[in-house]
Amino acid sequence: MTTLLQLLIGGLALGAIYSLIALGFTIIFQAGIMNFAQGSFMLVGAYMVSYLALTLGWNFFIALLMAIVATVVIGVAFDRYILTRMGSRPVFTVIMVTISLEIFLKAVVQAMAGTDIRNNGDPWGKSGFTLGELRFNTNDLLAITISLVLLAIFFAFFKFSKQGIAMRAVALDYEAAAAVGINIPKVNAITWGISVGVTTIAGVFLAGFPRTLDPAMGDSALKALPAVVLGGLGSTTGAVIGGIVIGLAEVLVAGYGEQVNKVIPIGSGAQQVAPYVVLLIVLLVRPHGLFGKKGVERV
Amino acid sequence: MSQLTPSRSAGSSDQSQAVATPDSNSSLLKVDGITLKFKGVTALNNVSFEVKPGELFAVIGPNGAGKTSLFNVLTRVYQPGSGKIDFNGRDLLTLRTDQLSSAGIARTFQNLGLFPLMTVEENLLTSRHHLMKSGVFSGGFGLGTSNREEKIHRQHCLEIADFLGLGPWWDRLARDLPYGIQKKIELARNLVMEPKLLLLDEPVAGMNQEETQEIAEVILGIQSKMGIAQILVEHDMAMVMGIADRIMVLDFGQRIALGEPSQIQTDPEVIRAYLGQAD
Amino acid sequence: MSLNMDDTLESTSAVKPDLVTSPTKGNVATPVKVNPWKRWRWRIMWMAILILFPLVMGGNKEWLSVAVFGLIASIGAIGLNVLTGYTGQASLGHGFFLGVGAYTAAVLGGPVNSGTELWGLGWSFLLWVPLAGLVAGVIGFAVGPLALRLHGLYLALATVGLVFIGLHLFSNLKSVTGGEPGRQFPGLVIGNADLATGGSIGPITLNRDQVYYFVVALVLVGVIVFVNNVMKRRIGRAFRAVRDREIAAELLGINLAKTKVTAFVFSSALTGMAGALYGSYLRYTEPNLWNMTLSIQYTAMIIIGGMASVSGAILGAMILTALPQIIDLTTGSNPWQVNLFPFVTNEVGTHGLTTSLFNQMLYAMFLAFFLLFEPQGCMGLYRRLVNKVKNRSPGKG
Repeated sequence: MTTLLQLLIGGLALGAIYSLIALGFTIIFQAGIMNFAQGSFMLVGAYMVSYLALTLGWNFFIALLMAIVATVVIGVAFDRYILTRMGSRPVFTVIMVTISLEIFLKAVVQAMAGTDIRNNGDPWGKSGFTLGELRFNTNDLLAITISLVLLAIFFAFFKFSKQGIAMRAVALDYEAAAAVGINIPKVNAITWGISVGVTTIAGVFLAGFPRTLDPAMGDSALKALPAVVLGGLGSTTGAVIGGIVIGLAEVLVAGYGEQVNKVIPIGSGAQQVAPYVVLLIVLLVRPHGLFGKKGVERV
Repeated sequence: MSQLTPSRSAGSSDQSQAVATPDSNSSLLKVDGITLKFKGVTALNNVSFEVKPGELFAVIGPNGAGKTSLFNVLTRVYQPGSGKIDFNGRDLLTLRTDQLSSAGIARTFQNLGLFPLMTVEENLLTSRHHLMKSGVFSGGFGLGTSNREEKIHRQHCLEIADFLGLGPWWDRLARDLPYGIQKKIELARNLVMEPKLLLLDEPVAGMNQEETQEIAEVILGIQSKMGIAQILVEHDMAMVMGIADRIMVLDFGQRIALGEPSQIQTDPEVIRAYLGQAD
Repeated sequence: MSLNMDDTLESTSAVKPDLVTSPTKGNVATPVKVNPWKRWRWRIMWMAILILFPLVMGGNKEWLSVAVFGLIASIGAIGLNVLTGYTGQASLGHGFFLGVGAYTAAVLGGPVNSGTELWGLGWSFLLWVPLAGLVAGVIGFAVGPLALRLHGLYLALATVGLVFIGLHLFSNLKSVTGGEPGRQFPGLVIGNADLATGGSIGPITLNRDQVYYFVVALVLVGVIVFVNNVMKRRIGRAFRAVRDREIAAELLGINLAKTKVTAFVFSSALTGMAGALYGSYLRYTEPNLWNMTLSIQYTAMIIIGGMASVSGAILGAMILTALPQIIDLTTGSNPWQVNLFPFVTNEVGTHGLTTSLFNQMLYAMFLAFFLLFEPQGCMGLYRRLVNKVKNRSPGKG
């Protein structure tokens, strides 16, 4: 029972981080783009925080702020100067452009920071407390709290603020939104800003205890993809729920994998692959995700 | 132009069915009480009509009257809620879209259904797909059967291309050609299929009078020289009245008139619903 | 490699330089065949280069192995182009099928009594090359329903899932793949003779790389001829019709499901053969090789080289395979030890912008460049060039 509770805490924390990453994917998807470079934004942000806070000795929170500013600038510039200029291109072309950004940014990070394992520079580090037999890591608790706060802010913004409503309008019908005078470049910039900012924060938590920071962390963003699809592309609520489910699944399968393996041979490392199996099954049963809508083809 | 009589010269055995002779007793297509609804909107409401072999049948009506919906039902893109369709003795509603070409139905698209990155030749040859047999292996190894097949069908395509004056563009990519030529390629592509029934979705939309005249002649030529029945959906009233054997008028998914052009022109219901308002 | 490959290898793609019909000649639609010698001239030239290259470069191990890897990648890239370029089905899962091919070869060709838990049947490579294609094709058939059910983005996402599931299987099926530490792959063995140890044909003595080169080149030429034949004929047209207009294709009697699965199986089979040869030439690899990075590389090859073009796939494969070697050469690994890119460090084990990171960056920039400016890749650039030259000299019309 203690093991289960302990795993649930870790799983919830990881799930909260995946929720943020999935939310990042979903927000940009509402602007019509599946951004495979989210992982590299996580990487750039986390490395920047680590460098500013640890190497230069800045205050962690100022470092975090700077990192968010930097990644948002990269993201918005990428949208404005590359994606927008492409005009309407096939989905796959856009995916590949974002992948090329991912490869590029990843190489830049490695060139500047090397491939050594680093700490993310947060002031709480390995701290935490014990309650009975349960261990609570500060990083986990903060990840859950901050995620909840960010999600609440985001949903309030999305639902009530003028810009949030404009974002939804653009997501629903691009042309109609333009026709009623919504400033689409501005809305797109805000969309990218929010998405990349949220992703950067997720990246910093993902590099916190019990995990560390190394260039492979960027690939973790792809783990949120199943969450995005499970929830149905473009559904923010779905992304959050999907993220938590996948975080829990990953930690639980890691914790109980060996016992399960004695009954069903799922192999080692099954926690990494479980979300993708679910992803394929969901796509086969519901080709447009659980909550996704099927587009009508004009004839 | 005698060689233009449809002949399933290659890869097909049913030579006898190919030549369609107009026969007033039997109908080629029999649509019986078709109803199609989208989320509460009734696109087609209990529509019935018949098309005889070799007939040039037109469907007109104001925008949103259900003309294109009708085509989408006939080409099995939309499944009607109720009703029956009999085509040449077969229950059309049991067929998949990709089985229609073998059954003998071809269709042009309002916004062009050409394959833009293929040459005219390839566009036409693609229409012979259902009459050809070669697969990955016979094609890949360049076996004699596949080569012979390609040659025979190419010859047929060349004839149709000549009939429509497309010869000069034979090797050009479809997307590089002018709109009028593209329309003709699409027509040619459908003729190459050797259909019994050809569905034409606004063949002269966006064309000037001269081009319209030319297409009208081609349509009449298809009827007289090839004996193919055609259903024509068109906005150009003058053209429809001039060439159609019979006309059906749709309004809000309902059939409000059916008859020869002269009858339609004087039908008070039609004048109220369509002519008075559109032209 | 120059860009001038169109005439030799390509006949199904957009431009057909050999069949000239002047629009002004009237209604005679019979295409005028230009002197067939013109066509063969290019073929013979490329054949000569293909044969002479390893003989001339015999002593240069680096470039020879780049060429072998390039030829192998060409087969795989052509395979991907069948699916993505010709049939329009997005895939980021190519690495999976390469892996399937490689491990099929490993099991079929591996040593019978290796003293380990690894399976091996000890068969000749004449068997395991085609059988790797067959097995990959069967697996392609099994995952084919994905291509049927899913479009565009969703298909791409599903193929990402496929790669990760593949990685999990590869690292857990220890008797096939050796698990995390990896396994040996079979050489080019027929009976008791291992061709890959080198040998001599008459006066010519061939080393391991040269033997691989000729074997792979032979397979590649077969694949080129085969794929070009398919694309010129009925099934190839159906592939492209499905890519461009699904509903129009259906109305012409093309069964979407059958055509997409055919493309999936055909593509997987070609890729499986490439994977088998890749593993064999590498000698040894860990299961983690068959990952997203590899898959993306292949997609990048066909984008950079040219979608829906056999020559394009080869060109893209050659460029991306040769890129690291070209970077090495220009950053100091040349007889004069000149580094043309002083900001790149070619020292081993250092931080900073290493040659391999520089390679990543260039590769990303090439990819982005072509996506933004020339979606038809190098072949698109080449076609533009040809059109420009043609328009300048009206005599050639």
